[in-house]
Amino acid sequence: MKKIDLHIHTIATISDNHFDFSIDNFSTYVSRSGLDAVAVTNHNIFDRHQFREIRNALGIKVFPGIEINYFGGHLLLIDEGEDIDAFTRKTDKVSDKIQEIGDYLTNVELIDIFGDLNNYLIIPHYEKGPPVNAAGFDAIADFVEAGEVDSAKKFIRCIKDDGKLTPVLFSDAKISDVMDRFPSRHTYVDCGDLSVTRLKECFRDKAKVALSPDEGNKLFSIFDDGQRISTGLNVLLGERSSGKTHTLNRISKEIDGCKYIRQFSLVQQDEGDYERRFNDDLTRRKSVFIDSYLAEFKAVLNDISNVDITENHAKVEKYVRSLLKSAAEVERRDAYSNTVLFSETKFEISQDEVLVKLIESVRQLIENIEYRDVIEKHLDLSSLRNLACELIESLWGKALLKKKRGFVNEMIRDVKQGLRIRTSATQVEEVDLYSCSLDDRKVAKFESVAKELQKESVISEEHIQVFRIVARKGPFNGPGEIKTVSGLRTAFSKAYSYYQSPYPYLLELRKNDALSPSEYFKYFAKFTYEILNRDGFAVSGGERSEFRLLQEINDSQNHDILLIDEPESSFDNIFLKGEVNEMIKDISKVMPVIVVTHNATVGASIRPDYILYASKEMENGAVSYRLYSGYPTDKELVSTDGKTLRNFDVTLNALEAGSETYKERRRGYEAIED
Amino acid sequence: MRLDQKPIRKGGEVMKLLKIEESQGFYSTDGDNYKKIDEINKDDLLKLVDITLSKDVEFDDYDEELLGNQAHQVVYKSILAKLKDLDARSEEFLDQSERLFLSEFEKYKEQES
Repeated sequence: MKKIDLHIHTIATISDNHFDFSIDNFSTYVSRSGLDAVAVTNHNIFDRHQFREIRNALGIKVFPGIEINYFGGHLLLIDEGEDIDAFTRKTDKVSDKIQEIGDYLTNVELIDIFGDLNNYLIIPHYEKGPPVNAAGFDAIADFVEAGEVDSAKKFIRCIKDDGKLTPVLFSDAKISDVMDRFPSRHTYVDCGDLSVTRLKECFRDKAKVALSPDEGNKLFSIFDDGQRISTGLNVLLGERSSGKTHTLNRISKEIDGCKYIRQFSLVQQDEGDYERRFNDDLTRRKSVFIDSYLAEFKAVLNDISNVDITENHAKVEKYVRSLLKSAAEVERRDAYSNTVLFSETKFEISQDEVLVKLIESVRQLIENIEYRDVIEKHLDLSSLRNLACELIESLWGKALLKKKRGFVNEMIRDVKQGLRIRTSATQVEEVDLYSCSLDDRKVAKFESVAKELQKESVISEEHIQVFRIVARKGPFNGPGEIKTVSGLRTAFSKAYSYYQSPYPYLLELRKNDALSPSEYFKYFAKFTYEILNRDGFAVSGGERSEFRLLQEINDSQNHDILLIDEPESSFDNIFLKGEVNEMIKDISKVMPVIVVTHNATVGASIRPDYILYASKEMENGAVSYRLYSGYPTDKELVSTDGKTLRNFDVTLNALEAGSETYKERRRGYEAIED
Repeated sequence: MRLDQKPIRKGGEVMKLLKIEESQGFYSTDGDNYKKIDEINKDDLLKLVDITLSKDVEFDDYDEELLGNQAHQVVYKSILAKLKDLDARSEEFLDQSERLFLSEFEKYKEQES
């Protein structure tokens, strides 16, 4: 197996924080990591002079490459390196096109510059930010054999999923003159020659890429000294002060997207403080939940924000009165009031939302790349373009008509004003009966939605092991409850007297200047968000900590690795053996987990995939820290510098305080049992 | 008329939209038939706007002595001022109309030509 890193930066561009390149550190990185091939891939730039310097210095295969901004994401384009000057001419065109952050190449431009993409290794950001969007990806899918991921977890996920591309994990490192550690993200390939052609062949077969040279994807490198851990469940053992927490801290720095549950972090000594934190956390979750649940209601509320039914009704009243008055005063009519424009109404000016949406849809049909085959199977692109043009022309015609009508309305208004001051006849008031009627319907809809919201019901129930998170909605039982929700020092008693009639209630809320309209949606129904234990009661203090641990573990699914430092220091064994072990086991099936423990319940009964042992040793009068590792069934655990320890001794010492204590304890239990 | 075309000016044929005769104001939407200005409604006004934007037009100037009818005075004066203003800036009025999807329109037209 060959070890490769085909994503390395050596020039600080506008897309990078500043750094000064160091050829010495590049050499050290390559030799310490044992790399067989690297690629130089700077953002939208390729420097042939620097490249030649690097190639001469490293003594391994070095590919020329470039990381290109492409459809919202990045992709690596790697060349064989046979004609550096020709490659430079092409990459210079990329540099010319991409001058600012936000500039990117399209698939057409990419092919225009590089020609046949089959001659290159094209590796888009895949499960790594910023990812190439679906349309951009599809446009070059035929030339892509592998996609870049940014963690071992995602690597494994892509390997296991037949629908996913072959994953590759690279360092994406900036080789600067200040590097306190070297990256450990690499990919092993089962590939004879290291050439673009052979690598392309290799990437077509997922079985030929791996995270480790001899253990497939069971293990992966975590530190630059070659220390590896399991992609599943690791238990980190060791005596007090042997460097276990230090090891976790190092890993958390090494891996982005790390979920780290520190020792005692979930249990506070100060119960009051802890309860406050717990409740704050609960409030935050509740607030997120309510915001999302009420999103549609907010839209309804927003829709009637400018509706004033009272004013509408007053306008209609006025219109009817003026109409009746005008009819009764026929004798008052004169030359002014007899002109047609005196009683003329204005043009309605409507929005062209439907037409705009229609054009937008046709545009999507024309522009869509992802489903182009299917669309073109049924529809002729040329007809679609003609259709779009005709619709756009209609839209422009409507826009112009709207403008003309607006102009005519101004004329009518001016003439009417001029006539009104000269006549004693009553002018019939203008009213837009259509919009008044529409407003009435909107309010009726709002009332029915708001009343529905006030009905008591359970709206969500989520299970986390033995716990249940139950969200309920129902009516407020008094103005005090609304005041609490608002968090404001303002009275709600007057508004509350209208609470049963949502629209008048809303009008009352509007009268209160202390309330922000964006918060109105919270004042229509009461939400409770409770965590219940296995018996259906609200959780106790101890249960709160248990719940938070389970929730933290549950949350880790969105991360790339989970680290837990001594859960036994905060929880009892029955809880750990039951819920916690079960959840950790489940999660370790999809991502790497490291649990630091002294506890046999956690350490042994969880049946880890891999054991790490941290040891503090005296060597030549100085303290040194060493990590040993191996499979649980291995007789010996081995350190990266070749030292070994007996697994049996290590495990018993760490988990059972030594074999004598273990035997003694067992005899004790047997005596009790007898 | 299509918006992407400049207004067509008919050289020589100038249409008189508003005129004053026998102390009364008149308007025409075809250049031949004239109706009293107190009968004008909003649809007629829209036609006058259309013609002003697309053809060479002229109007009798407002003259209180010639136009004796006081109701006609109010209507005629107001409409005349508006139409004259529109005539003077008709190109601006058309050019500044909202043209959504302009880039798409040009792209598709080019691809189809």
